[in-house]
Amino acid sequence: MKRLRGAIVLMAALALLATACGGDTTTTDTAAEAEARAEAQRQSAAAAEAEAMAAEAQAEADAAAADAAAAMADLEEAQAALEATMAAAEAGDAEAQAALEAAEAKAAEASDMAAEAEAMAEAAAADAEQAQMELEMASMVEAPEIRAAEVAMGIYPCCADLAYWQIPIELGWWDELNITITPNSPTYHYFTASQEIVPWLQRGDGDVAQAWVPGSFGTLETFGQTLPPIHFADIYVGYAILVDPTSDAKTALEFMEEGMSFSEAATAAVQQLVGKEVHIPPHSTTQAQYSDAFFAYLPQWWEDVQEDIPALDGEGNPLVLLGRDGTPVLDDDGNTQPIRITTNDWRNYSTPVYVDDPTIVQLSAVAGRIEFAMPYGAPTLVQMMRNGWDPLINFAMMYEYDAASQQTAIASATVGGTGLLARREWVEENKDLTYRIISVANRIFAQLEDPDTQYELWEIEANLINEKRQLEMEPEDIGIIWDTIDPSFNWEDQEALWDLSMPSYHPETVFRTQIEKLKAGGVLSANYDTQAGLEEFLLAQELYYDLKGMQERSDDLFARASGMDLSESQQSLVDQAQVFYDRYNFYDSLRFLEAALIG
Amino acid sequence: MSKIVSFEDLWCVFEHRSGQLVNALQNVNFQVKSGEFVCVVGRSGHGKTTLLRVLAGLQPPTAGRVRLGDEVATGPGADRAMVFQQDTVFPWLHVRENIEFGLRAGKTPREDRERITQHWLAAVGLEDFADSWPRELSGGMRKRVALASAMAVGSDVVLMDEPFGSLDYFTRRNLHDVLLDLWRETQKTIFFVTHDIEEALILADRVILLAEGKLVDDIPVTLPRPRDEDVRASEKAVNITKVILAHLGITEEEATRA
Amino acid sequence: MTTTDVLDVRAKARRDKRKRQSLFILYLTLGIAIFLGVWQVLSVWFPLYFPSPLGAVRHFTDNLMTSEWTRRWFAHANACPALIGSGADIPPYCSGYVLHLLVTTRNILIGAALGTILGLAAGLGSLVFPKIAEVFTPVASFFGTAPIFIAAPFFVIWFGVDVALLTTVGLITFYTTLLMYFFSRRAAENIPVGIIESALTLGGTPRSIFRWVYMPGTVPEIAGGFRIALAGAWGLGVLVEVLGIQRGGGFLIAMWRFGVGLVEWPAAVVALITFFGVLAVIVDGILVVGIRFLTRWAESGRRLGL
Repeated sequence: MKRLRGAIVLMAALALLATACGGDTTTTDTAAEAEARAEAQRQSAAAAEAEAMAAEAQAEADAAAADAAAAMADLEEAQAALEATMAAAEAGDAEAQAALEAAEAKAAEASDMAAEAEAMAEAAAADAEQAQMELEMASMVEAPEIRAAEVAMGIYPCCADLAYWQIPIELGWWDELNITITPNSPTYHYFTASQEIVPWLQRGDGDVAQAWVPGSFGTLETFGQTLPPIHFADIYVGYAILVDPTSDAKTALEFMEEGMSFSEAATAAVQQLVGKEVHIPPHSTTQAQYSDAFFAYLPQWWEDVQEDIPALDGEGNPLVLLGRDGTPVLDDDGNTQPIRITTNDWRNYSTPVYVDDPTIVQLSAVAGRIEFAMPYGAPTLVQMMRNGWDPLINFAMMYEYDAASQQTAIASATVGGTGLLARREWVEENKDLTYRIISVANRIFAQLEDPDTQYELWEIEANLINEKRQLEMEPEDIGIIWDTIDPSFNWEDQEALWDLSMPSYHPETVFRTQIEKLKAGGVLSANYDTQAGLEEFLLAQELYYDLKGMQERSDDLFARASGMDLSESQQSLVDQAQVFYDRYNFYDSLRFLEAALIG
Repeated sequence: MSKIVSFEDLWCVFEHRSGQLVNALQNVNFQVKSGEFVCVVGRSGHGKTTLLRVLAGLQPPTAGRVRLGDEVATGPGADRAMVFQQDTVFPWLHVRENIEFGLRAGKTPREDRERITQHWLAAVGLEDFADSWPRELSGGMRKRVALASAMAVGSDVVLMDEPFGSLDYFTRRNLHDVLLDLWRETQKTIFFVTHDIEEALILADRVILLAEGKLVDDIPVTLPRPRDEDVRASEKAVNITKVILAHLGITEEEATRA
Repeated sequence: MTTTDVLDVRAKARRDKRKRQSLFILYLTLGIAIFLGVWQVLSVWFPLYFPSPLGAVRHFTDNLMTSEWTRRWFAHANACPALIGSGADIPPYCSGYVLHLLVTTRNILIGAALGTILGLAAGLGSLVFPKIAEVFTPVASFFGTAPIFIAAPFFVIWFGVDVALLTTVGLITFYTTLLMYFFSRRAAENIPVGIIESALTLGGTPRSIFRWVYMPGTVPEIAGGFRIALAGAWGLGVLVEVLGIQRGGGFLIAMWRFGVGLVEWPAAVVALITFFGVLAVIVDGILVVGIRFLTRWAESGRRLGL
């Protein structure tokens, strides 16, 4: 029985060991994963030691059992001899009597040996049991640590796509990740003007801050590369030229109501701007000229073109006009038509009046003070539209009525969005925090799209923007901005953002055009290597694919875990990993799964 | 044309900050003939300066009036030029321009103005300093400028409110001589406020004694001129001094100590 | 003391004076050298915020008459607004800094001059016509309590950004008028009452007293006030342009503000700011010479550096 018990214990120990060692020990290059791997190795070593101890105890038990068996055999032999001798003694055989005495002595000796062997077997079984307990202790799994850290983040509360970092602060999401946003006393760091953001990061005062990504292109030759985006949030399509409600100018839609085609209506609408002033924020100068797309409706635009700027896709091929279905638009001769981005400038036709968005709102509030304006911030746009200003023309109209036109192509090739800029040095030292911060962005966008949660998030943004910019936004206005003016990229959308094979808005392609335009405008050197510069700058792409890989490995491990009989501690870790996974924190999800299943 | 200056039933009452009324002048009545040199003597705060300011038109009387001939004097004017105790020379005008000021204000033709100015510059001995700034002059020289300015304006009556009070003894004596020369030359009526009895004895034809705003005595000073130390030490002069001191309530011992 | 001794003393006095002058020049040179040295050091440590002094000078001279930066990037011939849309060729100097800087200088000087005239007229006029003070003082006190730099954005909104004459010149005039009104009133009040009384007894009429007493007598304080007003006007004029006026040095600074990180950014901003600093010092120096002449009668004025 005892041998059997010892064998069962050993088998169980081996089975556990086999389970523990049976996982796919995929490795990653991250420090955290190396740490997890070391931990697993430590646990493996402890299990192997316990196994060796158990084997040694079993061997001792086997040897003792063999001794006991031999003693038993001797005893049986002695008893048989004794019985024979007793029978002979009964016959009065003195010789037999002597033999009997000898046999009794041998039997007693054998009995002693058997007792000794049994005691040894019991001791060996106890050792084996002890080893088994130690083995079980060694196979208990522990949750990986999520280190406490401070992240210096600044927020520019001008617009929906910049103010959304207030959401995790107010909802306590950072606490869940053991992150403290600094500075936070007496308040968080709110920028009052967009031009404060980059110097703040550059001075090292901050680690991360959301900013308009194309705004960094002009700095690529100086320090732009030290502040790459680690996440892309949105694409801003709200560009519109607004017209004063008291103006006689007609909007493109009004011209369409008179029977014009959109193209004709757009031309007529934009023609009204020639020789007039358009109020526009000064930072429009350092970014691609979105107004160009509107002014390209002027017939003279194409007559005045001085120089074409290469508009190339990710493989260096010319970008061509595409129809709604994504197929190239062909000319009369059946050829594709390249998208023509040029050095021509809308300011050759209208006079820019450079004033900040808040000043545009203030000026627009005085009837007749200004006639045309092109605010860049969505809240400003919404506020002015609520005050009665109409879009003379906007990107949305062009996408809706004129999707396959050269003008819309220019619009698509020059749009941009916001991203979370981070100090590259900081990112390299804090990959774990970087992944967690990105996960929070993805969680925000998921909840912004979820009807059950979005209102609360809109409200947080509206309150902050109203407080800091003296606007009167309703939460629903934020919703309108996200839905129509400033669509965001949630986690699922991000793939299309970076995979050039998918039809989508690709930063790499769009930004290349804008950088070329800056080169043509003299802001960047003419010999600046656009491709190399962009590849280095778009750190968000690399981080996206890191996370994507982590998500896929997490998926594998979840599948494996579902087919396994998990201990309580393992199951707990897998459950926690699921929570992280659901919150787009694939980094910690993977760490917990590996801890649970691999050790 | 010289005029008699008459003080008639003159009262000047000020209200102190505490609400108490102070009679700076009480029913002052006296007349001054044309060309007289009158010294107004009294202790500090007994109405000397007030009397002069009323005469100058800088302080309206509470009751009574001052007449110049038949006319009641009201506001200030060039007919009663005044030399102040403090330095009132215009620092931003050259010496010549200071003396010209009253003439310019009175729209005297340029040629006359220049001639008159030159005359008074010479009269006070400042020809060589005509184009100097006042800051470049000594205190005594600035007083000469003030004197010349007052004289040049052509007024019949010249008012002087302790004009030499801040000067040293020698300068003061020198200016007394200058002033007496000018007075003799012009025969202007001069009101000279002082608390210095010796100064009054040197200068005055009459001493008007004020105490607590009242005219307590009107003493003719009939000493011969020039009034050198011998004259001032004469019995007559000593008697006048004693009278003045008695009115002022100062004993001879006190006066000697002072 | 013998004649020789006197000559020695005079020679020593002359030597001492020369020594003081030499020391003054030495300290001035030292001060400038330290300033340039600190600037140079900062330019090594923070090249993106502090260009080398030579870099700033180079940027300034390169862009003074014609500027590729403004032409291609942001200005679009804003310095010559009349030519936009006229069909005429826009001359290269329209893109240079020179017109912008001249516009700012002109606006500031016009504003300061207008404000000074109005302020003095109100301030000194109120001495002759006290009713002016009764009307003007409460109004001036009310507006005087609001810091003018706080009021600047409202001027931009009220008068708009297009008509610089209204906004820039208007604001500077407004500011200078208030300041000069108070300075002239104070200057007049500080003239000893004895001097006024003396003038009255010398036959002074309101007109002659104004001309020969108040006008020259208030010069030192008014001149000091004018220097303060003009120093403020430089800052105010540039600030208003930064807030939205579409021409002038402040406009250039406002536009370069958004060029943070561009290679030329620090040189441009430092060059423009330095320009106004140097211009203000030069204008102030000319003023000091003029004021010294006008107040040569006032010994204290010299001591105060007027």
